[in-house]
Amino acid sequence: MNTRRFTDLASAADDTTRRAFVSQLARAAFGLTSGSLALGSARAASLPFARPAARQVIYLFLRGGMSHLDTLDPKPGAGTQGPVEALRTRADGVLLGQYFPKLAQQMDKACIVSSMSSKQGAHPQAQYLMRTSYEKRGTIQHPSLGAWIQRGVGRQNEALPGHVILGGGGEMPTAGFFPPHFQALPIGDPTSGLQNATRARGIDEGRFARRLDLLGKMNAEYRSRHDVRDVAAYDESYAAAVRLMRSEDLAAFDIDRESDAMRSIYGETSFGSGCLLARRLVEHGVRCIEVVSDGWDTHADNFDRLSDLAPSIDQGLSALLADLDARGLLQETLVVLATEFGRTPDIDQDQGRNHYPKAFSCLLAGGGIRGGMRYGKTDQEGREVIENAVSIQDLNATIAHAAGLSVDEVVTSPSGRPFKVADKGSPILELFA
Amino acid sequence: MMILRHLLPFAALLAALPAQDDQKPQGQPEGKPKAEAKPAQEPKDGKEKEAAADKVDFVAQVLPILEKNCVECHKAPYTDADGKKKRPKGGVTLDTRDGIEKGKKGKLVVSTKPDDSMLYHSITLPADDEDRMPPAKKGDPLPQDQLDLIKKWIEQGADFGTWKGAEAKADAKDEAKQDKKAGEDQKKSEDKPKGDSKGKDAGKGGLAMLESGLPMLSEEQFATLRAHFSVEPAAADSALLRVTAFGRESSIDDAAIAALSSASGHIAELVLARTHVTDAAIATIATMPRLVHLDLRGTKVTDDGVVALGAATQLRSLNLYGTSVGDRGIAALSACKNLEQLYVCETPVSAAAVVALQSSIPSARIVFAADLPEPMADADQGNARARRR
Repeated sequence: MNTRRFTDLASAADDTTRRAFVSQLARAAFGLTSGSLALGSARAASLPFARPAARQVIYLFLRGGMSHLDTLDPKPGAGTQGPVEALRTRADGVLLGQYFPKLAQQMDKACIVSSMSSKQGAHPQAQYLMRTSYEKRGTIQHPSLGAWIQRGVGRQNEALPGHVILGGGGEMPTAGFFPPHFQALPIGDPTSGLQNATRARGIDEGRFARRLDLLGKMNAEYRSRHDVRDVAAYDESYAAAVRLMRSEDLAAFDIDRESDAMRSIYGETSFGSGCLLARRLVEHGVRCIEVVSDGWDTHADNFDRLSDLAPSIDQGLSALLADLDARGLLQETLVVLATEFGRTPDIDQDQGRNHYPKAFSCLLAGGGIRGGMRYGKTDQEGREVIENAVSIQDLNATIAHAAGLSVDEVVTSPSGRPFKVADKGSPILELFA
Repeated sequence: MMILRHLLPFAALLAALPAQDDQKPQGQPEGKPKAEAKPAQEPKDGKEKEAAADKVDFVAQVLPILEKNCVECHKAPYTDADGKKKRPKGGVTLDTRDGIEKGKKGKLVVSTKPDDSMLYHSITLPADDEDRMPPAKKGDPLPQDQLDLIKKWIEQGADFGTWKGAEAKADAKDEAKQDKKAGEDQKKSEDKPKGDSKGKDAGKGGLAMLESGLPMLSEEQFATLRAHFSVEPAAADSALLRVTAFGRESSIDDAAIAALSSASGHIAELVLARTHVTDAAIATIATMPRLVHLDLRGTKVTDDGVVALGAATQLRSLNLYGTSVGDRGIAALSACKNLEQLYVCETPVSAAAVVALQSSIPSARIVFAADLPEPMADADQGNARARRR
């Protein structure tokens, strides 16, 4: 962050390896103000626990279906590749599509799962499946993964919601049949933070307290007559809102407190601001944060649209990984880049790619995940998974496992049906350092 | 004739069967006396069998037929490998004595009267009758010798012997099926809570070694801690704790840290980021014998505090991001040979000090400058910026 350090480093580098010295010098010589970074091996060091312990999960959801061939699983030379070129990354042998030059510099921290495969090729159903591990049914609303994680490990910060969703609209993950306090707090625009969270003008704390007190008295009789879960849940949501209003942590939602420099490092896009806000929330101990990026359903002009869409992801994600690492939070925070399905290897007459659940890619980093690797393989043209197929349930089981949940625990819904956090999924243990 | 031929091998098998059934639900404890009473009975049973050589034995002869042909659909409700709740077809269960003798649909077997027994009736219906069991879609009619055997068993009084039911056994089988995907399925009852933990890390002696013999914290102790901090187990079912200050940073100062001393031996992770703790608190923290992760981001801790931390030789991860800790403090950490991660971005620590520390703890990863990307090109964020209020 500061150039002085690099001059010092060059003079003090006698003891470091030649390779480390050269790479550091190169960065300094190219005038980068931010550069390397860490001495010591780049492996995700093991925390002393026998199993991973991601204390927070940031889930970046690219809604609409991200084309795997153009992003995380390029196939240079294949007929299906189209005009997008492949980039080499900091991880040996791991290639990325050309729109991700900054992520390429962070690939030592991340693992691409390129063997995702599912059978669900319709948006709402596939998004639902990604977030809940279950097929959408008319008879039940399944809890989202974020709700499961809160239920499994509780909150770290009592004043803030355990699950926050940034950006995006449309269908949101819910607490399903879990109690309503596991519901995510949606924030439509990350740049404007949490709205209406302060007392109305002219209402001082004393008056506010008297009003709440009066409300309590008026509710008391009703509450005593209807001592049931839903009434209690309603009260609890009021209490939670008041706790939040009074919390010093309200500032966590305000990204205007970040410097302009930091804002532009994350990118002043909706997604970048979402990533920055996610980092702030992680710093305040919020368990699960989802950042939504819309517009990935590129049926026509796939390549033009990707060149618009991808840079904000490249910027936001690489800033997030680097910043979390610098703050010592990446080791305990799992970052997932996910999408509901891939896009067809064949390019149609509109330069589009269409829905393709058979093979797609996601990315995981931090939270005990081994970086610098690719897990699973698709064939030469990106059509079929040919190694280590990973179902959506397996991905969710991996996330749940990282977060410290038991994937075997059966929870019975109020209607008496048994469910597990990731249905039949098994965690991919090979991904953990 | 045929029955006799069957009986001989079964007589031998009998000695083993009941004992096995009893062992299964108990699972692992090999050391326990294995249902000593049973083997003593067996010889006697055997003799009785010889005496009444003609008597059909339910467990040895009839039950296998039911298990092979019927029980798949007719057993006590259970959750299958897909997490689906399965109920017995038609409410008929054939895997327990109660199910057969007093099922929901009434007696399936009427002692000595095969023709009044629903069980016998439904397996002897013509193949094209839709009530015939097993259903045409599921399997072939039972062969005549098996029908005769069941008939004979009923005629002889439908004696179940000591058999009560295979509930426990059936459950164990189902769960085993579920487990197969996750890995080995033996010894499950013992390993279950830790589940996947027995991966490659198990040998590293991590949490398990740290907490061996550590008792769980009492409820009162928990309550004391929770008055100031947010507290959770460091891992599922662990006696070790992760203690954080989230949401209460402004109220946590050196005095609050003193309150941690009652649980000092239980704390594995301590997150004090942005709290008011100072160097004075470090003396308490440095003596926590199992503390492996300490987060002091953005606190007022200085070199003096970190020098005091030098005593915490078991520490694996230390976060000093955004503190005023400098080279003197960092130098003192060279005693912490177990240190795996050290975060010193946004501090006055010099590269020289980092290099020096690195050479004394070669295995540590020391993060001293952020690897942040260049800001986004204006063209790429132009539209988005316009949207910003």
